[in-house]
Amino acid sequence: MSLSTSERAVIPAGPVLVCRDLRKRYGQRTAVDGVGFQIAAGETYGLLGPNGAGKTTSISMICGLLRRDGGEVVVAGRPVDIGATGAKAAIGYVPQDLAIYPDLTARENLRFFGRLQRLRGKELERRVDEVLAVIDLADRAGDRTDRFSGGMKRRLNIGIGLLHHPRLLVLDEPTVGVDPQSRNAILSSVAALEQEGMAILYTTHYMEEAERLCDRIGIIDEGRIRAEGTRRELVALVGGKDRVELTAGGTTVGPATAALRALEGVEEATASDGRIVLVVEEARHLLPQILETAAGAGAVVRSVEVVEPDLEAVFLHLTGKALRD
Amino acid sequence: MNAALVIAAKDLRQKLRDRSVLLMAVAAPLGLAFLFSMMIPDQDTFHATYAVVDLDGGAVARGLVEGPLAGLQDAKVATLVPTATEAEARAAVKAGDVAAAIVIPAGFTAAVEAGATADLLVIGGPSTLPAEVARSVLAAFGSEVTGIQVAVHTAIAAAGARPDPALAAEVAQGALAAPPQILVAAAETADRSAGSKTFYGASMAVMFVFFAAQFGVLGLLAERRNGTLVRMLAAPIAPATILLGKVIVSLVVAVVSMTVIAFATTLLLGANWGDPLAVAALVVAIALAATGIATLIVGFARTEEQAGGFIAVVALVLAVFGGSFFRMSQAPEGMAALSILTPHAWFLRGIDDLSAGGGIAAVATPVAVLVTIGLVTGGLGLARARRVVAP
Repeated sequence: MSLSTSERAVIPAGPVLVCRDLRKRYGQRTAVDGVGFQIAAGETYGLLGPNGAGKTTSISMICGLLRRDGGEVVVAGRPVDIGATGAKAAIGYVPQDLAIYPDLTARENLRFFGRLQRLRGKELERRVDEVLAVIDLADRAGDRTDRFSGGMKRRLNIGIGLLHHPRLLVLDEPTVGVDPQSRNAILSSVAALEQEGMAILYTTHYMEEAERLCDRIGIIDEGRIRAEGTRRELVALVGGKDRVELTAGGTTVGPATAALRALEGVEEATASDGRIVLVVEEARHLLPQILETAAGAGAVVRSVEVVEPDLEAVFLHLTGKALRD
Repeated sequence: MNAALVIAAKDLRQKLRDRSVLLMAVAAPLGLAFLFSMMIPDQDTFHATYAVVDLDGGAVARGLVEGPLAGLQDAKVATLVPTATEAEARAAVKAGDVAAAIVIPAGFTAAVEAGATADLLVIGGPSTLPAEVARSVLAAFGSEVTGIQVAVHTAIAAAGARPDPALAAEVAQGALAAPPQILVAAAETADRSAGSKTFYGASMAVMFVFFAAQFGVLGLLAERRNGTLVRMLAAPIAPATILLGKVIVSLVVAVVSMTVIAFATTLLLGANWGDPLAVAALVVAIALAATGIATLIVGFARTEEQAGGFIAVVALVLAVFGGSFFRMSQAPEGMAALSILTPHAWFLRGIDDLSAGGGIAAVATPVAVLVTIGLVTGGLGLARARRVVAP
């Protein structure tokens, strides 16, 4: 999935999305309570939280679909206000549920939503063809979508959001109910769009997706962002350390273990049954030195596994409950 | 407006692919119009062919043939076929060449002049109505003859003269030949109602236009159910544009439905809807009224199914009270008065006026009433429906 050269040339610096202190109440229940973050061009921001955490309510306010009780949203320098359509033209919204017409073909769906995005004539046809190629549905463009597989429908659902070259792409749990193969294709596509300079807001309750895709992650629960940062920053919040497991052969692992324990950055080293387990600060940075030290101590390393603390642990630490509760 | 047309064009494309729209908007009303107009013959256009056998040839017989029977022919109610013998007349009736036969036996005039009983014979065919009409005409003629006989004899007796059969016959013939002294004025009470083919074409069209008009505005709830409404709302268009697009679809489907039925009943059934310009005004006005009422119902409904059910009930109730199933002239007085509350009655009143030869001026009141109904109900409906698209 890639955009044309001309699209990349118009991407300005600075945040594409700025939202501050978003608030929304339904009666006595507070759905969103002071949510705020920014997303720059070429950045993917993940809102990670369980169902009912306030993710969809937040992005509905960001896209101008829901009246907010408080706060401010600015997209591409334009405020998102009720009745104002300017900022909406900069947003590509992909709703969680499929939003396509089953009795229209893929091309007819794209044409219709393209026209609503003010595309006309040859430009519309060019963009429809480009998007069909991007979502790999060019050969099924003339088929009614009720004959599509679930994955094909999901791809079309995303493609519609890309038609008008949005500066900000908002994806609301786009992989819910998708088979593993299609899910992988969708995640790869999103990563490619980020590379092309699009700002992406990605909501999910799948920790793996947030870890794989997002440059920064906001952990949201009960309408509030509990923590925000890169994955490493979030893990650091809870004092998480990496674990490195080495399987060694040749000589005994005792000398290698002792040598590794003395290595700067290694906090703990234990050995048992030909395995050496290390607790370190930055496993990925330290790994070359670890392998070199082990080899220098006579160990023949057959396999290495790095286990980093994950967002599940962070979420549990911050909220006291599991992510999928 | 441009986005509204884009939405309307997309909806119309979907409706064309949905055969239920064609069924409800065109096939069903057209089929019922055909059925009703066949089942219920048009009394205004009654016509029968009669064989007339004059075996008498006398003055009174001529008076009957050239008087009441010729009058039926002049009124284009009957065609008279002079026939030589009773046997030929019976054969013609049996063969279906004529609907009935009227036989004036030999000696009829003489019997009348003598004040004796004189018989006339009606030979009926499979359909009883033409024979009944003939009997009624002959009975009226018999009453007239009897009246003249009584008058003549009374006058002669009062003069104190001896009864003179020749004089009595001469006076009676003169009386029969004289034009009637009492005429029933018909101009003021002339029937303005449309023929049955026009009536049922128009009445079925107006009943089903309410089902046709629902397809556009009901689409708003369908978009919400399908999840496509939220995507439309995310586009850089005003929410009211979506409502406008749906209203345009309702109006277009309603107008197309009415127009197709008007053309089809005219071409296939021989219905006479009247002045095309005035009919167009009525069609647009009833489409507006139907769209307005459908919009109002959709505005209060929570789901498509609920709205569809409400619209069906309202359409049928309005059709019954508005005169879609029978003419209001045949309805109880109270019901006829109630009918003015329905768009159907105003539309059918307009069609009646057009069938009677009226032009655009004749339908000004019905058009104004229908447009008012459409604007008021549509305005209220749109105000309610805004909650569906409100952020």
